[in-house]
Amino acid sequence: MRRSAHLRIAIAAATVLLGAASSLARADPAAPDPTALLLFAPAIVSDNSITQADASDLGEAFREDLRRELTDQGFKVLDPKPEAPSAPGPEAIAAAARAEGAAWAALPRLGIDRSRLSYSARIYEAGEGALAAAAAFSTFAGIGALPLLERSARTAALRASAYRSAASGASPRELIPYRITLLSPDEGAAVSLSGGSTGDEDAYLGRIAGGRLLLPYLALEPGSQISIVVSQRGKRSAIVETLAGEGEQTVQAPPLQDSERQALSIETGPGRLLGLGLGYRYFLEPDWVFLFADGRAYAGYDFGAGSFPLFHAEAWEGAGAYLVLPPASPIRAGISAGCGLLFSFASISGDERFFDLALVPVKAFAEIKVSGPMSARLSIEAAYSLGLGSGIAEMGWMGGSLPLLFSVGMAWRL
Amino acid sequence: MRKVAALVLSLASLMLGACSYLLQDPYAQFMEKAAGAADLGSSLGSGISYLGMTEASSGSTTYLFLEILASSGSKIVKALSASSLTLSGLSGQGSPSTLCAAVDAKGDYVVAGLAYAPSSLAADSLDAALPGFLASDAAAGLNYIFTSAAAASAQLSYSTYDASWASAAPFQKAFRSDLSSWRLARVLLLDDGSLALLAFQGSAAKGSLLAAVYPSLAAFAASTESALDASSASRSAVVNIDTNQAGIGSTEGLPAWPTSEGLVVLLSDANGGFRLARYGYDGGAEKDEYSVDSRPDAAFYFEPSGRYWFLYEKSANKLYKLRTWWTD
Repeated sequence: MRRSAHLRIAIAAATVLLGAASSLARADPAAPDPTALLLFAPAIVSDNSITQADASDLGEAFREDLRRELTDQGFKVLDPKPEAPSAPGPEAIAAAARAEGAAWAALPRLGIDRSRLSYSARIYEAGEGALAAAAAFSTFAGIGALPLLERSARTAALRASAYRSAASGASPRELIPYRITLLSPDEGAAVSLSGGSTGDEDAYLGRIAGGRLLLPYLALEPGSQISIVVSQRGKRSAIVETLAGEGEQTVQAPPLQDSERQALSIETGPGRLLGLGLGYRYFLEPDWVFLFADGRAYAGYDFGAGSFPLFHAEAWEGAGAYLVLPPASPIRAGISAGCGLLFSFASISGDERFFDLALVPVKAFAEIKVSGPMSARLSIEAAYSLGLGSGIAEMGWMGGSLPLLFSVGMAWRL
Repeated sequence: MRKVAALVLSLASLMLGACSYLLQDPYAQFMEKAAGAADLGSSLGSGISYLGMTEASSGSTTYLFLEILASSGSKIVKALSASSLTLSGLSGQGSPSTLCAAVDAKGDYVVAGLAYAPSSLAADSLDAALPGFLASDAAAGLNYIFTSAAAASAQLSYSTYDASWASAAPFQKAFRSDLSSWRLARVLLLDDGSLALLAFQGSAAKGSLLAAVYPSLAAFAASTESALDASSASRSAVVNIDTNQAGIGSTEGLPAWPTSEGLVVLLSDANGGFRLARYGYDGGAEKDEYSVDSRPDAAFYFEPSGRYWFLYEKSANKLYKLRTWWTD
């Protein structure tokens, strides 16, 4: 079962439990028999795809299954008086049960639609008509449904028994009777309970209004960890971690950061220390997929005898993506690919301007968040020169003795 | 103490290596030394093979002679201005035995058996066959032709001609006696008029280069000692090399060039790259080196002056004039 489904059941159970607990506190201990249960006749809704007789047989079988299983669980099963409603609602059920001196009431329901049978068994607490336990299923409306009806009856009886035990104070679980208030400066941001690393879907809890959200009741044990996700369109989601405590709790969510839609960077690297590279990224998918255009201008100069600076102006373009870790992570990494238009200038006689073309089949980068929108970036790229006749870079991998180009720099999210 | 010294040296080497890597141009490191560049693709045409380069000066004009093998099988010499790297009208064609590019005693360029006046570049035939290296003594009016024997020999043979190439006188000198036979690889005059001879001795695997520098052609001729003898040469260097690594035996000749500043030899690195090592004439100790490992397709030539060197990229037909790494 998915975690969100667990949560919903837990919330419902906790709500019912609290309701039952308060009801028990107000109940007159001398009034109903705490084990007496009024078992109603099955409520059947059929489209006549099977005969009425067959439908009635299925209903009676289900009722008898319930009678037997509830009896096995210690309930004293009573039949309603003839004037009792045939298809009552919870309040009517509760009233009828109280009138019979029963603390519980059970109602089987069957629906038949195009030979499909859907059924449920609901057991109500007679004090306020709160639902105490239920079991439901569906199958083909035939003789093959009988084992399933029996199994569902047993399930409902077991749940009712467990509920009765919990309501009488026998439950070892201690639920927290308070709620959490989340404070956030992001008005309108959606708040949900994280599905965590299990892959469960996040459970929606509400939206920030007036700088806060009082979270719905969460059935949690003290000390259990809560991961609350705050998200808003155009911004990066934030995860707020907290531990369920012993009292009222107020949790402050950090301001949501804008998603990365554009970014600027400066960089340099071995062989390009005498100059600077400027980079621009435009994100097709905010925070993840981008186009880039990098410009570099620098001088190659080894300070050796006979050497003069050789000037390079480069324009690199391409596309890339972050592949590792979500946007809010302190470290992220990805790859990109593209090509470079490379111009070189030398103060020499004869040819003095050169043009090379290079491909970058892969460039790997990693970023470490420094503060705010600023990150430090390390890149390693393999650039392959096409060896144009107009250039000075031979056909092959660029970079000299180590055919890789390294870069370090800083990046700013715009 | 030795361990400490070794550690210090290792660290220093590591730091120098790191520094060198940090400053290494990602395109072509040698271009930082460039003084000129020329694209020779259209002028040389296709289907040619590179053979070698030689520089010769007459008066104030210096030509770089580029020797190529045409697809027809004949050798062609193209003369380029050594300063601008532009092609001149001077070119020659001949058989390998007559190919020569140098300046004779009259100041004419002698290319492939023809003499060209520096002013007009008009060709004039020579009576003398020139099966070897030409070095001239303008003051004495003598041309020296050193025999370029294909096979190693115990004798160094040369002939002298007068300025008009009219009369010839053959001479022979025994190579230094403590070593066996040698093969003369280069003969050239350095800037100060001194004569540099480069010979090679060895097998296909191991060999020695011997560079000997004499004060002048006349001093060489007047010497009674055996050729290339350290006692007769004013300076000399013996460099033992792995000939396989140096690529000796290729059609481009011996990849070693005597200069006024030392003998430069192209060597292979252990990792398959190439480096140019410079050896001093005071015994042959290596002075410095320069990595050219990113240019396996290149051919090299060093000016006798030691100020410039040339890098010719064969596949791209590109020629670069470069400052030497020891010249400020």
